[in-house]
Amino acid sequence: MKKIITYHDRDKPYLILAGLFLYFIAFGFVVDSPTNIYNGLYNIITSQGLLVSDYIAIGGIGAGLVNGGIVGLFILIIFRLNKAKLNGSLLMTILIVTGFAFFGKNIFNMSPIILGGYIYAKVNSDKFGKYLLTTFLATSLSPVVFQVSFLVSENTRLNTTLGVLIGVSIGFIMPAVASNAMKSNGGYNLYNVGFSAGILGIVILAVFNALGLTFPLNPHWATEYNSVLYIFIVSVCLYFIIIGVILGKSNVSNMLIIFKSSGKLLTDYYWMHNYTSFLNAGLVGLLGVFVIYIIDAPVNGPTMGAVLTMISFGFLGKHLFNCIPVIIGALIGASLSVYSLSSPSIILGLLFVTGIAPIAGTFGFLAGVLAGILHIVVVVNVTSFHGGLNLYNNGLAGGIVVMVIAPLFVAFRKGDYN
Amino acid sequence: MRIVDELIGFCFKHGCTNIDINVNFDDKNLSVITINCTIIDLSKEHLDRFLKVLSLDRQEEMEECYWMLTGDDSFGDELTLTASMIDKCDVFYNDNKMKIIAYRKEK
Repeated sequence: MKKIITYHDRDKPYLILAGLFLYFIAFGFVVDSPTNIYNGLYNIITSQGLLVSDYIAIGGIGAGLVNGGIVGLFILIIFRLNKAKLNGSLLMTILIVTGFAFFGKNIFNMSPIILGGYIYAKVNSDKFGKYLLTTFLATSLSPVVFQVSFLVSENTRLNTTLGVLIGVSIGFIMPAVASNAMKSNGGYNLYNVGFSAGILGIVILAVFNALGLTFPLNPHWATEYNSVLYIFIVSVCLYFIIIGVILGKSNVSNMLIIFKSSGKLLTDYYWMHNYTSFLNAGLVGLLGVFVIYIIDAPVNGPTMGAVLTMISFGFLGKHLFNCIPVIIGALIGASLSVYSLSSPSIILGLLFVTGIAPIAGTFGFLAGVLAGILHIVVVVNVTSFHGGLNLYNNGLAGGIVVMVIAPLFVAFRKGDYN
Repeated sequence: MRIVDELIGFCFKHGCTNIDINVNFDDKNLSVITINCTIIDLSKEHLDRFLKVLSLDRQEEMEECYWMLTGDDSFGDELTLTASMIDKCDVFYNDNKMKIIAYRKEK
């Protein structure tokens, strides 16, 4: 049998995402003035970027949205220049990085890391296209670039040079580090590059501490734009659903197959079911919005970034039936703990816990609930490990949880396999 | 080896016996993996799914990231990682005899 299923249309997904990111920018200009947006963008690129830096709080609603749109378009241009054939993994990469452009990433702190990935590819005489995923996900350590560029000494030129060099070094080593860390998570933690970045962040923080460099956390968390941002994020979810309904074929049967899948890496829904995956992504996004609603959390940069992350993995492993058990587990864990449901770490944990959805998809509902409980109690503790330098904090927490419980579930299921 | 691991994992999962594996590397950088085995009453549903997944396009660009996951424990029929790493696959199933021939061009 020949490989008969091919990428149906190379340009269409690019156009769909370009339309979405232009919508981000247009929405920003509708709700805010150009002057505010200009000043806000300046505040964003000169802010710390450590967890949790809500760009909507730092730059204002317009600048936050415009920054998201600019970062999204920037990624699309680089992917297109490298002739990347979009699949579930790359769609996920574009959307998750754009999601984090609402709290911690901008073109300036991402670029050195991307340059490092490019140099790694060239040193290996390889195409950069093969490293787009790990390189762009490595930008979870973007805050490191700022910390060094602005805070190490009083010599601005030296700081900037050091910041760029460290960013390039992160991009250079991440492909190798991420590939190895993948094995330890066994495909059950969808945020596996976040796990690798977390490990690297711990090492970087240790080096900074040894040199006497400390970076106080200065969290920003907007609460005042709820109604407008609800409209925005729901419209984004509906955009994906409408694309899926219009362009998807055999949506009902494909969705049933998606719902039965474990979601374990590599379960690429776009590759297997084409535009039906957009429908799945939109539904997973709406689940995220529903969680925000029931816990009465604010819609702001970080929570919108979390919903975009959920949408992004609607192309690669997440669906309603493997996400719901881990969310229920996280809700139970948060309710039984001493932590407040209104704390940013808990709110984000309740959304990002879906990174370990494959546990529920593979081992069942109760396993997912247990994993969710463990995830929420672990995630509030891990930020201190890397000092907020790794934006994919839940990737590190999820990786730790998976490393502890997946081998246990695997041991119980060995009989099934044999 | 990892591709072989994944393919025979599928066969074992469906109760195969008498498995015979041959791996051939020719001078045109083409690896050909041939697996012959006996699987009693493999259901049409499982066979169709196996065929569909293995007919998906190779995703060479993703190999760098995901190859470490292949050959891992597998509780489903999710051979998508294998499909992402091979260029072509021929599958024959007749009278409980299964033959799988997977082709991978090394680049």
